[in-house]
Amino acid sequence: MEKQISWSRLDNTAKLFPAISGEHAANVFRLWADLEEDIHPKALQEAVEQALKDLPAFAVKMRRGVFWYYFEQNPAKPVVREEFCPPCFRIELRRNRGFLFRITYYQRRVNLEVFHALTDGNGALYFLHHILFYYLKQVCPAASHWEKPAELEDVSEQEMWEDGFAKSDEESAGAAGQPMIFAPRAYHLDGEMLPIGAQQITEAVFSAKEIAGLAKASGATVAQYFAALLIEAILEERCREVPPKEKIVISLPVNLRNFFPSKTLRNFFIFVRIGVDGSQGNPGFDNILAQVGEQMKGEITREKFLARIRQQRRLEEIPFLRVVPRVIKDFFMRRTYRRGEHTYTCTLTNMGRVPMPREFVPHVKRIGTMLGASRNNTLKVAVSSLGDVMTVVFNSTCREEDIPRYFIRRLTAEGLAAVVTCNEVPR
Amino acid sequence: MKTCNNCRIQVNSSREFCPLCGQTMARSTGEGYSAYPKLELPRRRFGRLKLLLIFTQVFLGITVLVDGFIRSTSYWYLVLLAGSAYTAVSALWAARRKNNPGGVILKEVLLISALSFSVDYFSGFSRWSTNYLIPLLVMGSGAAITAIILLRPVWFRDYFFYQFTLLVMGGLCMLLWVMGLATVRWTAFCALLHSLVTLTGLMLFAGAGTREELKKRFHL
Repeated sequence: MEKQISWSRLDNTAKLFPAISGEHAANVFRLWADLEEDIHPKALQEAVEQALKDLPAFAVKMRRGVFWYYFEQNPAKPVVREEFCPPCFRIELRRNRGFLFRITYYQRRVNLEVFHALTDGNGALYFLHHILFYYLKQVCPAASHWEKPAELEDVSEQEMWEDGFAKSDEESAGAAGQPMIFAPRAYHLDGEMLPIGAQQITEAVFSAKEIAGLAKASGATVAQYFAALLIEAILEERCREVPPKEKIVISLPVNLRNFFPSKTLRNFFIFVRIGVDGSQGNPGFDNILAQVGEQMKGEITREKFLARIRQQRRLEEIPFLRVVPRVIKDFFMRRTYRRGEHTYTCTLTNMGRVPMPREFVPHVKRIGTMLGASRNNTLKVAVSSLGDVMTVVFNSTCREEDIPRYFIRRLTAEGLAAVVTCNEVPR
Repeated sequence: MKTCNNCRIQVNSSREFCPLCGQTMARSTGEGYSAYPKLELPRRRFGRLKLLLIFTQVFLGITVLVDGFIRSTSYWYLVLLAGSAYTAVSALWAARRKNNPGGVILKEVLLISALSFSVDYFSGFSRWSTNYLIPLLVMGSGAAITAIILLRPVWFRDYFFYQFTLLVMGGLCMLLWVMGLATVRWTAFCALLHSLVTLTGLMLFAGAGTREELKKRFHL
């Protein structure tokens, strides 16, 4: 029998999140699944407890060490509740029994909200799959005899705790890290701020096939097409009268599991920045798309990622920095992060086609994701698709709806059908 | 489900106006359901803090006024103010951290020690803080933490770190005596010995867990 892991260090990316998170930047993302029937709370509670037994990497609390934070096993049970706070609201650890995730439900929707220090979208999706498996097994008579799908059985406890950055860094031993250079300031989106903690959500549903066809006709991938469309929306809605001095920069998180062999359930992603100069006005969609495509091809390569990982790990390994007390590290990390936040305009994440065990398909209508926006980065866009249903979610901490409106209208003008859902922002 | 002809979208909502352009929407067929409940933001807990800050300000005003009437040559009202501000903040903090009494005790010891040393130092430095108050606080808090561990053995691992910090403080008391900042030897000696004995007892009680706890807390 494998020895249970009682505590673990935070991975390279996770080290940043406890230091920088607060009321203005919760660093919480949400994954949700829309089912065919209303949610049964008791069955969901039972399903979460079962899922945690299978995935102890999620049953942790974060503790403060003298030099670093660390994860420790959490013997408590998480509480499933009806949705009670705005989407991506800060997870107050003390009120959440120490857990770094929150499970809520509303009508037919199951929400899994995760503090980014715990895992990334890929890890959270694996957890959500487990929850859905145990939930459906209880509530669907046809599912009561289900065996666990092979997709949910293939990660050992050692693998789920693994630090993907450390593992891939071993490959790059001897390789030169990318030099530490701060990118220049990017164009900043501002507007009428919502109350602290509130998010304006605009959720648009399209046909995944139609979107893919549109992108293909332009010779681009869906991610490239959406990044270009987002840049065009910002240029048209915010910079038409006064062209921006700074570039419009989109930050794209990239799942490193596609480049390095790892089954970790912890953070294993990296940000790539794609920028377009709008100082001469809108260069036109085709031109923007060509620039975005070229930059993405150049930036999203295994070699570039290895150099970035080396750079990040090298910083973490400096003996002097390691012995600096955590409180001081937190202070400097916050300062550095704030500076880094000004180097991109907004974030676009594309989870792509979400893998779903075959058995679940008739019961799950839609899967979606959203990233909590912050006071400094007021717009975050998340894309995911299940079957032919593509969901694009805009999270904003500003009241303005101009960018989602341009984005959605631009697609409906191409003949695409869109169904839009919005939340009611608390006053 | 409604339709906005201006944006050419269907809207999954019962509202009258399009969320994107604000135009009146037309009702269309098709089932719709609400995906987001109408929620209020959780209440921010600044009410009590604000009240205490106002109270402290009023208190400062009164003390400065009294000082003006009696024409005192010392800054006694600053001591009163620091004391009342500290009491207000620490009471709030303790209320929020009631699930972690060990942490509250440790923080109180550190803050009271710093505050009393400052007051003592700026009021002639008769060494009442370094001779008696700080060493007795270290001993008292050590005893309190030991009592909590005996009552709630589940918390033992967590509290090991606090005892370790108290040992450092016991060492600090001894250092104050060596440096001449304290003149009474027995209190400093007792504080160090008490924290040393308590920690050793805990280590014996914990066995192999001690090394694991130290590894967790001090990992580089």
